[in-house]
Amino acid sequence: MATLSQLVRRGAVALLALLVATAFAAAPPSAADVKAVFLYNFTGFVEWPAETLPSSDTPFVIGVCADYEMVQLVREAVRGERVRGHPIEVAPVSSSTQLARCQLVYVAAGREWILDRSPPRHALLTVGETDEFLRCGGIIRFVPDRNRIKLQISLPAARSAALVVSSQLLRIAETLGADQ
Amino acid sequence: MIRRAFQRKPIAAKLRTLITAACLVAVVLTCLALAVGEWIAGRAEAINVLNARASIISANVSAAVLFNSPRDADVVLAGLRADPNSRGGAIFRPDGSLFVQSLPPGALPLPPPPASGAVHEFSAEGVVVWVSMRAADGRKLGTIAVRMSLATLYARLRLYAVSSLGVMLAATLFSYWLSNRLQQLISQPLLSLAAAADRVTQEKDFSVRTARIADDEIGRLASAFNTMLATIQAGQDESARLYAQVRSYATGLEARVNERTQQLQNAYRELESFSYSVSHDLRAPLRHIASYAEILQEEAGNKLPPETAELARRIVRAVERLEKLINALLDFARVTQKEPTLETVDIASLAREVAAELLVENAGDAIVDVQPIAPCQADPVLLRQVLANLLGNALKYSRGRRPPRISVREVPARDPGFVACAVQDNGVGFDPAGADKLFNVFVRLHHSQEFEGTGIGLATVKRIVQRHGGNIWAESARDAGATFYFTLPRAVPAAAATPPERTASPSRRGAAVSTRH
Repeated sequence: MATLSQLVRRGAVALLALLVATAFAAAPPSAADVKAVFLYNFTGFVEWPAETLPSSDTPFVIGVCADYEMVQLVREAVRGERVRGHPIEVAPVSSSTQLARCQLVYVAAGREWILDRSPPRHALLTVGETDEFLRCGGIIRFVPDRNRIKLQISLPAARSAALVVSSQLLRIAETLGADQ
Repeated sequence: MIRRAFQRKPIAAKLRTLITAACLVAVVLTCLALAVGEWIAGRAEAINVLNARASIISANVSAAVLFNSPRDADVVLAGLRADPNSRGGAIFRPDGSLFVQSLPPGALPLPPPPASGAVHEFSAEGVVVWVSMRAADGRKLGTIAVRMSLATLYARLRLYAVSSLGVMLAATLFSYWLSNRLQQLISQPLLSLAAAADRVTQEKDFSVRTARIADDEIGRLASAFNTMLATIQAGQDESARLYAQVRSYATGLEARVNERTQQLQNAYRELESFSYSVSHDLRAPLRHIASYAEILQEEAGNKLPPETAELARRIVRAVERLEKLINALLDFARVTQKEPTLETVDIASLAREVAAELLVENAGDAIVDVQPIAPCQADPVLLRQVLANLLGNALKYSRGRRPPRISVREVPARDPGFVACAVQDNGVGFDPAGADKLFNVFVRLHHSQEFEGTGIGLATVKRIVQRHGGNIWAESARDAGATFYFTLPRAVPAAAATPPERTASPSRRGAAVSTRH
């Protein structure tokens, strides 16, 4: 049988837990947060050609063509992580020439122009937000679906970038251009 | 208790019980071991299966977890339903919250991974296995829980139990049948051996033999038993033969001894009656000779020449001596012919009477000292004859002493049932070498010229004492006096209150009557 003091103590602990939970729940992860994490998650389901990262200390560069806040969120998401042993570098991208040293690039809505004037995007995983992005040869698109974010993947674009996308990723995503 | 009850059972039942029990125990243990092994293996197998499934699921749902797609994960988990034993699966986030869960109808929700870090758990629902899910870079993505019902295992175990019972029953019946057959191999020879032994002990029939059935220890026992019986029988036959022989010898010997004894007794009796009648018949002519010699002396005493008168006197004296001799012989013979009539006799007073009579006859100056003597059981007439002889001899052989001294007293007897008396004198004594012959008829250690006598007295004395069951012996040295000892049966006191005379005080003994002349 629990004594009164034990009951009081348990009550206090429960109250504290409730408060903490409420504090975190008060700040649910924003769509931007989720996208930043997803960017890193893609690295686990996409294979880059072997020559892309010749030595182990060559950094894996994630380019962010978005506002500074997004850059910060991505930096936050990959802090302390590595991609297949390579250190990760997050770089703000503002011109298509900067894409050459990136292996993954995020293109915010309205900044699809950065893909227009780029040379053939060999071994570059492009992640964007809009139909326009896909039309410009983008590979993965974030599609908002109620309170979730769905994925659309353009297989032809991935193929032309010489990237292999894991079937797992394809299974949870909507694939486009599979018939081409 | 059980042990004692078991020991009382016949050997056949023992063997049967032992074999059946051993068989049953073996079967039970085997079934138990199989069931336990099956149970352990079944549980381990279930865990292995679940681990493998969780690993497959883990590999297939990492993208769904990473990109927050529970629907896709649910599709993967739905694959678990292919196994009817599956009791659902679930994916938990690293913080323990449920990501997705797929349950068959009626199943309880799956438990989140326990804080203890256990990787599997058995419950009423079945067994749950938790496998942590990691991304390619090693990040923890969450935990997969898969559950499986153990109903199949339990059903199999139940089947095992039922079939084990069947096997046990069959094994028991079979082992009972087999032990019945086998125990006959062992118990049959033992039973026949026991029956043979019973017959031997009850009927003393040593001709029984048991058949040697097997060549094992029991067979050896049976042949040893047969050999033993044969030996006993041979020994018994031999001893019976010897016994019969000895018996026939003994019977023959006994018959011969009886025959001889009869012959001897007849001869002895004839001899005695012959000597008695001879002695008796001799007295009549002797009487005549004495009478005629006396008549001759009286009527022609003065007319006869002195030499002739002397011759007549010698005739009378010789006849007198012959008469004494004949009387002594008659006494001697009479002792054996007449049974002594026993009564309690006081030897001391009898000795005093006899001594007084002898002293009157001899008119000597002898001192006769008679001490008190315990009463004894004797014929008074014969005892008087004994005392007369012994005291007469004592007086005769101490005649030359100044004064002759004779004592009669009791001496310690070796046998408490007897009274021992000593008659001692201070006379001439005798050669101790002749002490043995002293009591034979007509044996005399002194010349008849020196001391007159018939040579029959002591023989008569010995005969009387022996007829009373007593004994007589003598001690002496030449010229140092003689002591004659004799024993007679002690009189049984009529009443315990009567004080025996021999316990008298020394002062009383000092005042004992002494006969002195």
